[in-house]
Amino acid sequence: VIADARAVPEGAALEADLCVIGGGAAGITIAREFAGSSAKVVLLESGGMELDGETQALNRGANVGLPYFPLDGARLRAFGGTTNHWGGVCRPFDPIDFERRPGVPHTGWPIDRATLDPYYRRAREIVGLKSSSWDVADWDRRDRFGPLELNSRRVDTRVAQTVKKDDRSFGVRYRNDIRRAANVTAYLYANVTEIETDRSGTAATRVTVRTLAGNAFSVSARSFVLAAGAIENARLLLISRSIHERGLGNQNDLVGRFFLEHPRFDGATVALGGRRIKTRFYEPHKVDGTSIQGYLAATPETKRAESLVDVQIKIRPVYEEAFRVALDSDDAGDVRDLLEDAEQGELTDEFGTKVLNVAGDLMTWRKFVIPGAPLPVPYPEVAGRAMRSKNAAVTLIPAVLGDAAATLYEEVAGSAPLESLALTTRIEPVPNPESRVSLTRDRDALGIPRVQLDWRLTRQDKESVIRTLEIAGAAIGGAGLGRLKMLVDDGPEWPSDLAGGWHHMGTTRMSESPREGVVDRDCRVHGMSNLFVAGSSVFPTAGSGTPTMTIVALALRLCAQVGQTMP
Amino acid sequence: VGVSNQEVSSPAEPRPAAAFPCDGSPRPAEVYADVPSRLVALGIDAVLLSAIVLLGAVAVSLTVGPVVRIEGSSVDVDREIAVVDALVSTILGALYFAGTWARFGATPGQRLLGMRVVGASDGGRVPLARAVARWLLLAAPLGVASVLTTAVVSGGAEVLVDLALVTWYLILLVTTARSPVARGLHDRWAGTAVSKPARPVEWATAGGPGPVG
Repeated sequence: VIADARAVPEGAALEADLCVIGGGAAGITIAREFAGSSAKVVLLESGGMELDGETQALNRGANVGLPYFPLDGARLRAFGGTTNHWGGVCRPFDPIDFERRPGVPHTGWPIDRATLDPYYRRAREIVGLKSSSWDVADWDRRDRFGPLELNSRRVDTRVAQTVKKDDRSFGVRYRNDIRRAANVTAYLYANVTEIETDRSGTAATRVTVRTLAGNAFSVSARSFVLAAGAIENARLLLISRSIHERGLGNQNDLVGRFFLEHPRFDGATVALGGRRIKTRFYEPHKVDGTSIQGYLAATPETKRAESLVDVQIKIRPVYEEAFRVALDSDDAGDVRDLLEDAEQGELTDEFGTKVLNVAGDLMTWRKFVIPGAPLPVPYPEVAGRAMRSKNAAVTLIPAVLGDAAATLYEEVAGSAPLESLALTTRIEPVPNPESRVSLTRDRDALGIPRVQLDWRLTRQDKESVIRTLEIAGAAIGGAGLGRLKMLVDDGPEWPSDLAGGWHHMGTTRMSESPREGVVDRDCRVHGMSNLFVAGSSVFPTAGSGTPTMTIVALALRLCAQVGQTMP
Repeated sequence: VGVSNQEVSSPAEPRPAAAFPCDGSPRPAEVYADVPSRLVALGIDAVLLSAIVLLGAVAVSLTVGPVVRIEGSSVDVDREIAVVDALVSTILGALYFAGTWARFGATPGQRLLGMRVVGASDGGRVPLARAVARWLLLAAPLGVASVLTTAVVSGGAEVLVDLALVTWYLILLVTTARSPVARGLHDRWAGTAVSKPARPVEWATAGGPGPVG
């Protein structure tokens, strides 16, 4: 059932067995798991089915650390949460991500990868992936574009899969499941403003809910799951100060600390040697209907031996200018849309216009054939250049055959004449207690303190980037592919193109001991019996994969724990 | 020798049988060339003429200047020189078709397949005026269209020129295919026909296009 919190009477006291706060990937996964059970579930989502500015403004906050996206742009308040602008890239975390790594401080999860394996299998289906393969050799067998042959023991290629665009939003994908579940009620426009506890502060009793329309009500439950994203999870614990002055689960001042992102920037370029390189494996492309993308990374053995955090190296081909311009053109976009239409067997908007545009562009060659010849004979200068070498002929494609033909060539050949390779690095940063979310005196429209984000990275992060690039550079050079030129230096400043990935993690980290984290191995807030946390805020480390599959896997595992508290 | 005509009863077509006894020397029996054979001959001629046109364009580039300037991946066409190319191509096309019909009775492609372009009324070699008329109807429209699209029109008008050209060639193809003696509009208006040696009788009676005589 989906309901509007603005229609709930002022002062109403709702009761449930389970109250889930947040309707994103984690919250919806949990609600679906309990659909059809005997448990009465209330899901509280701050936004509506669509984004609205007033609700989204509740996400505003200050950035006081490294340059970061505006906080109201990096996450979304709507049914489906931040999956509504998710890029869809998936990869489970590797076993090493869960290990305590002696050379990397604050690493080690209370659970290992094997614990999550059965949940990852289901998470893959829930996020919308068809293939269960993460093995490069397996994809290499099925893919006509293979990984680079680097012959290195220190660096290898990994594969991520991407969920189809239309399948990414949990709000769209699963709204009917929630709507049909008689024992689940999702309240939209429901903002939790406090989690109340019993007098001992060891059990949550109810949450206060306010809407921007002005009404307020409460929800009591046997158990509560906080699933509002890593910044809001910390905020909600910190603002719930009725019993604990510093907020819930914050007896050791850890709530909001260890904020993690996946920082990325262009770390290096590769000046190419004479060998022809195909880099399509490292760009998003489809194999047997699944979109995959490869990237380079140091092997687990190398990371352990050299105390490196994970640094993913994405390879972006920098084509010669004519191809760059052609592949950026509107006609190129139309070609890609039409190819996707053909693959999916459906028509997108403006199909006819796109066909006409592409057809018109595909006639570009006519300007370069001798007029009056019964067959399309190229002008002598064009023919002479084209016959000089294959590369010379390919270079002429954008100008002589047009943007659409250049795009088709690049799609089929998997490459185009290269100028260089750009290596974008994405880091699994060292968990850092100084990187944190905290409350400010500024308040939002509901009177709740806003947050500030002090995002910080460490020297070890940069050292890992440089060292991993050195290792990759040696492998690339050793294979005769080219020479790596480092763009990042070892000074204290970070590159100006430093950005995150809208991946917020770590602010309620999982730990065996309350001295090291906020939730235990079951994602229960240390010292509390019935308050659980779902989502990437429980990640002790940012991992080598993307967060969403692990968020869903952990949410599924959490259901088993929460289920024990249900009737 | 003789080329007989199945169309003796057709009032629309002149009866060329009497004309086909040719110009003196005995010839093997001839029939009207069928459309597929003529298309093959046209294909051969298209390849040969294209090669000649390329040589013509090389000559233009060497004498007038390069029509295309390539700097890196930037390619520009000099439109004025392109018009010269279009005119040269058209002239070469006229020499190739009209010249060979009048001088040798067949283009190289037709000759390879044993075909001849003959006068519809006498079966003899066509005079230059008829050959030029046939070229004007058959090949010249391509040249005219190329000059127009190179020098005069662009954009939507270019599409109209293309459409007109395609329509014209479709008309020629359809009228040729529908004619029992394979004489399309161009042959009728130019007073010409295309012949080829008669095939062995046993082949013809087996269901081939059939002898016209």
